[in-house]
Parts: sequence; structure tokens; C-alpha cells
Amino acid sequence: MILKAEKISKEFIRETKNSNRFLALQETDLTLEARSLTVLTGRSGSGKSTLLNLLAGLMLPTSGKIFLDEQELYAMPDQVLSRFRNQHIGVIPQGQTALHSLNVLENVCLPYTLRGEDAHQAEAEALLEQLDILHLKSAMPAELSGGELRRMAVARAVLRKPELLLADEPTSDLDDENTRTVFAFLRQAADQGAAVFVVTHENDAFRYADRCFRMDGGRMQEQSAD
Amino acid sequence: MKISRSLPFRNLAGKPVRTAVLIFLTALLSLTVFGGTLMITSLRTGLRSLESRLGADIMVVPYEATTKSNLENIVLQGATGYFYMDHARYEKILSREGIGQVSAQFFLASASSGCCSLAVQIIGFDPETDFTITPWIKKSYSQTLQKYDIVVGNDLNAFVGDTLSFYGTECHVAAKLDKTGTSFDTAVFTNQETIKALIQSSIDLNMNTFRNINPEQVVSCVLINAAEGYTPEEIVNDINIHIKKVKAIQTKEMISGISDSLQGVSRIIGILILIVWILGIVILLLAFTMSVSERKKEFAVLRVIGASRKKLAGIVMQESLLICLAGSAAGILPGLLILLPFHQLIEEQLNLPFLLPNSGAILGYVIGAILASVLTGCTAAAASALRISRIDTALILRGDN
Amino acid sequence: MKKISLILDAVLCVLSALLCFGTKYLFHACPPKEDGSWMACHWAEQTVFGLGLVLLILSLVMTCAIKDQKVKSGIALSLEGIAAMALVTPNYLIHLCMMTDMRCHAVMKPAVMIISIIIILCGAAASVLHRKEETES
Repeated sequence: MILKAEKISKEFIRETKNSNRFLALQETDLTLEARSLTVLTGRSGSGKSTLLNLLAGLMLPTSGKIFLDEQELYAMPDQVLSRFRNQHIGVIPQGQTALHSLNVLENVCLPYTLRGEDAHQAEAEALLEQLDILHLKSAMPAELSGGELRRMAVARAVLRKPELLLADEPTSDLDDENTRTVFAFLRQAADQGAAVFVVTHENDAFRYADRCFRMDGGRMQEQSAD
Repeated sequence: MKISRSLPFRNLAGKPVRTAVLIFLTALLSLTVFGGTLMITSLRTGLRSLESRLGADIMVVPYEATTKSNLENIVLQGATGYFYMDHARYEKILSREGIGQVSAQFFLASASSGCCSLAVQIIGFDPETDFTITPWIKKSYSQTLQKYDIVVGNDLNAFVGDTLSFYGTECHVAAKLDKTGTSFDTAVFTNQETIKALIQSSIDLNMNTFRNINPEQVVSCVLINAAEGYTPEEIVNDINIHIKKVKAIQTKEMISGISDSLQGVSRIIGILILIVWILGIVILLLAFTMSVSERKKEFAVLRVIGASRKKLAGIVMQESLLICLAGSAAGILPGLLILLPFHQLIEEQLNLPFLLPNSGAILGYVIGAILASVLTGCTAAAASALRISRIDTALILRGDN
Repeated sequence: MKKISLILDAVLCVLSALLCFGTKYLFHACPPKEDGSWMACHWAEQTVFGLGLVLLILSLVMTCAIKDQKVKSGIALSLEGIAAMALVTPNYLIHLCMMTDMRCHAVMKPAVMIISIIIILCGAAASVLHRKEETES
């Protein structure tokens, strides 16, 4: 799968010095290819998460279009787009994203069970094993540390083997060892065929990346990947 | 997918205290609407039943019966008592103008019989002229009553085939009447012949306060329906003016006190239902709004995983539906357990005619109460469901860090 | 599971106590006649009191003294039978008063019936739960 973003931009209505418009993302073109891992860095508030949400189909761009293969993302009605996201796009959002009434394994299986499908528990357990939290599968989210929760979110995002994997600060709560585990994991997903897009502060990330971008004041620039 | 594993169910199970409070609240809602309407209906049915049991426009009784307010006590309150007037007065009444149907009745109160401390009111009627009791007895017993046959009210713990003894005279229970919810439920009915024999027995045993009467020559009261072209008022006035030592009463006036207090009780119940419902709706509205607000992030996550806006709204609605169903079950069951077995006690405490509707109607009220609470809960949840379906996922997810 | 069966046992104790002492003091049958003699319903009340006492003792023994789940299950089963007897005592085994608007009919009978039915249901649930715990352990 190839993701193509054509001249997308995003404006928010917000009081600034001169106008009530705030341009979070200037016109940007971006192509994400299968089997590649793309890293985006930048300061807080530079528009990184905005771009990621646009790509995930969660936020309507002010201008421009996004295509996944031939499908235009925002031309689909909500129900179709939701099903499409469920099947083809894995998102690891910022912060803690567990559902507190479900245990770890049930949280990971959600992408299937939410649509009334078979839970695929064995695959979920294999992922938890890889991320070293299998022993917590029956625990409730409230009993887990921030890092464990984050790894749970990673497992949940990749369970359906999405063609597009979007990660927003996937390692922000993790120690060095777990950061390496997660990046290796994302790299592996890319190697297995996914287009992976990671927003991060982690300098380490460049080592796993095929392409690197830097966001500054809503403007994205490619950097050499070393 | 099993309900117990579905997301709405798990969400509720994950917050047991909040869920229990909400279920309790909806239980209260359905209990008030179910119990309240059942109470009001039972009272209305009771009043209607009393009206049809009285069945005559006018009652004429000996004057002393009204001064002791004996008559109303016997007819409306279920007290026992008896009074007599000369048969000649009955003849006089017959001769007045405007009289349509007319029939005499005979009262006697049993002495405390062997089993129980309470006396029973015995009402005798004349099968040839009677127009109030016979149609009602016909529903349970189609044959003609023989001498010493009696028909018992529904509240008497005696059954067809039993023998009851009054003043040493054995009587045979020929039929048991349907429940009326009125004081007639504790009375015994029999024909003229039998009650005259019983009155005689009570006099023979020296247990009747009227020592010197001849049962063949007395009646207790006369029931009258106005003939066409005459109003009950005219006849009442006519009798009261022209016939001495008797008092004619319009039955409508006797019941008016009861229908007044019935309206009072109905109004209180109605206000109570209204208050509980307004409070309930406000609290449910707040509770659903809060519960959805504090889980905004979870809903955003569901959206990320691929839940459509409709699905999010569906989860909120399903949660409220589960609560309402559980709540109405938890409210209606105790309502049934209290109102049905204890209806006798309620009737006694209210001192009003109280007749439960038939089981089909009760089932209707059960379904109605469930629907009402489900509808309320879903309306209260609809605002939250709409809000959550318009959720700005990206904004909520950003808000965390 | 263990918690639920423990709660059920406690509920059975409370209900038995309610049936026993409630019938005697709260929702008792008709008062004595003016001459001090009792009506038939009094003997129904006494019988329910006796059955309630047996229920109370058995349920207390089941809850506090017995460890064996099988025995607990058996006792729970016996509670059901005794409660069924209590259920049919007023008016069916022992006749109550003449008029059904009297206290024994209006208050005692429905109260005894409701409590007995709940005891039967809880007893059945407790019996099943204790059997389950037996097979689990």
C-alpha cells in the first residue's frame, strides 16, 4: 500500500497575534511506501501530531487530499472510513489509551472484537510475548505502569497487521531497553510489508528509519537518514 | 457475541458502584410508575365495582338507621349491623309515584361464630324482585338458591360445599362470589326465606337486639330505581315527605365521599410519580453526561481503532438500555411482591374500595412501566450519545500530554 | 464464586431469622379474642415460628460450623424443603381465620409466603454453588 498526501494543510481557529487563524500545517506533500519506516521529529506544537491525525483519517484537512492506494480517505462516509481504518490503519495514539473496563488481552483484541469478529487471542498473546508483557494479559489497565500500557497499545495497533501503521510518540514513557524493543518491533512491521510512520523525540529512531523528516512551525523538511 | 462480554456490559461492570446507583434509580422510577398506576387503577376499579354493586338509585331505611349512620357503615365500611322496619312501609313505598324497580333487603349480623371473633354481615334478598344482587351472583352461580343455601363473599375463608353455622342453624355454601374490592366481600348473601329463618333463630336464642319483631313482617331496607321520566331526587323528596319513620338516600351521595377521597389519593400518587420522575430524569441526565465525559478519551481510542460515530452512540445507548432493563426488573419485581400479596392490607389501610385489575391488565402495566423507564433512560442518554458521536478524536488525544 | 455463596449463606441466615422472629413479633397473626382465647391462625403462626427456628439453626450451622462443601450443599437443599412447608402452613396446612381481610390473611400469610419463596430460591442457588465449589476444589 502506498499513502499519498497531496498538498494537505490544516488551519485551526484560534486567537493569535494578528488573526484568529492558526496554521498548524502548511501545504505538505508526503508519500509513505510499503516496507518503509518514516520518522518525523520536531519541537512540541510544531504540527507533528496534526499531520499524523490527518493521515489516520481522524481530522479533516483544510485543503488537500490523502490517498491510500486509489482510495481517497476523506471521500468515504464515516462508517466506511471507520471500517477502513479498522482493517488497514493501525494507530498508536499519544498518552494512555487503555479501556479501563477491559483487561490487557481484551484491550489488545479490541480491533477484532469491536466489530464483532473472532478475538484472535493466540495472535494477540504472541504479540504480548514479543513485547514482554504476556504475564500481564489478565491484569486490568489500572494495575499497569505507563510503559506497559504503551506496549499494550503497540500490540493493539499491529494486531490486524495494518498496511499503514501510525505511531505518535510510541516510546515517550519507556526506558532505553524498552524503547529499543519497540523500535525494533516497528522496524519488523515495516519489513513485513507495512508503511510505518513514527512521530518521536527519540534520536535513537533515526537508526531504524528509511526516511527522516523534521517539522518546524508547520513546515516539513526531509533530512538525511543518518 | 455474548452480552456479558460486550463492551457496554463490561463498561457497566467495570464501575459497579455507579452502575448500582443508576440501576437503583431506574428501579425507583419504574416502581413508582408501576405501583402508582396499579394503585390508582385498583382504586378506580374498586369504586366502579362498588357503584355497580350498589346497583340502585335510592335506598330507603328506617330513620334510626341513619342517625347511627348505620347504613353507610354496613354498605361502605364493612361494619356489621342490622335494623328493621315494618313491612307496611314497604307497601307504602310501592304505592308512590315514579317507582321503577323495587326490592326489599334483610340484614342480620352473625354472632361471633366458633372459629372467629368477627361477626359476618348477612344480607337477604327477595329473589322475585331483586335487581342488585342476583345479576352479580349469577356470574358465579346459575342455579336458584334453596333454603339454607348461602353465597359467600370472596374474602370469606369458606368454600363451596362448606357448612357454616349461624345461630345454631347450619347453612350450606352454594357459591363464592368474585372479588369486588368492597365491603361486600366479607358478607354472606342468602334468599328471603333463609334469612327470615336465621332472624327467627337469633330471636329464639335471645341474641337479637330487636326482641319483639316478627321476621315475616319486617324488612331492613328497600332498594329503588327511578321509573322513566322521574329523577331519583324527586322520588327521594317524595318519600321523605310522605312516608314517616323512614329515610330515603340517593346512593350517589353515599359514594361521593369515597370518590372524593379517591381523587385525593390519586392526586397525591400522581404528584409523587411526577416528582420522582422529574428528579430521576435530571439525575440520569447528569449521570450519563458525567459518565461519558470522564470516558471521552476511551471513546476517542475506540474511534482510532475503527469505531464509527454511530457505533460510539450505540455503545452509550446500549449502556443506558442495559441499566434501564435491569432497573425496571429490580423495581417492578418488589412492586409485584408487595402489591399483589399485600393488597388486602392496603385495602384495609386505605379504607377505600380497592380491586386489583385482572392479570392481563397487570401484565400490561408491567410492560408499560418497563417501556416508560427504558424510554426515559434512553432519552436521558441520547444527549450524551449525540455528543459522543460528534467527538473530535484528534483534539481529545492531543489533550493528554 | 466463594464470595457469592458466602453472601447467600448469610442471606439465608437473615431470612430464616426473619421468618422465625418476624412471624412471632412483626407480622404475627390475629390477636387473641376478647375472652383471651386464640383463633386458628395463632397455631399457624406457632408452626411457622417452629419451622423458622429450625431453618435458623440449620442455616447458622451451615454457614459457621460446616466446612465440607457437600454437606453445605445438602443442608441448603433441606432448607428448601422446610421453607416449602412454611410456605404452605398458613391456610393450606392450618386454616386461618374466617375473613381474608383479617390480619392473618392480610399480613402474616403474604409475608410468610414471600420470605419462604425467597428462602427456597436462595437455598437452591446456595446448594448449586456449594456443589460447584466442591467439584472445583
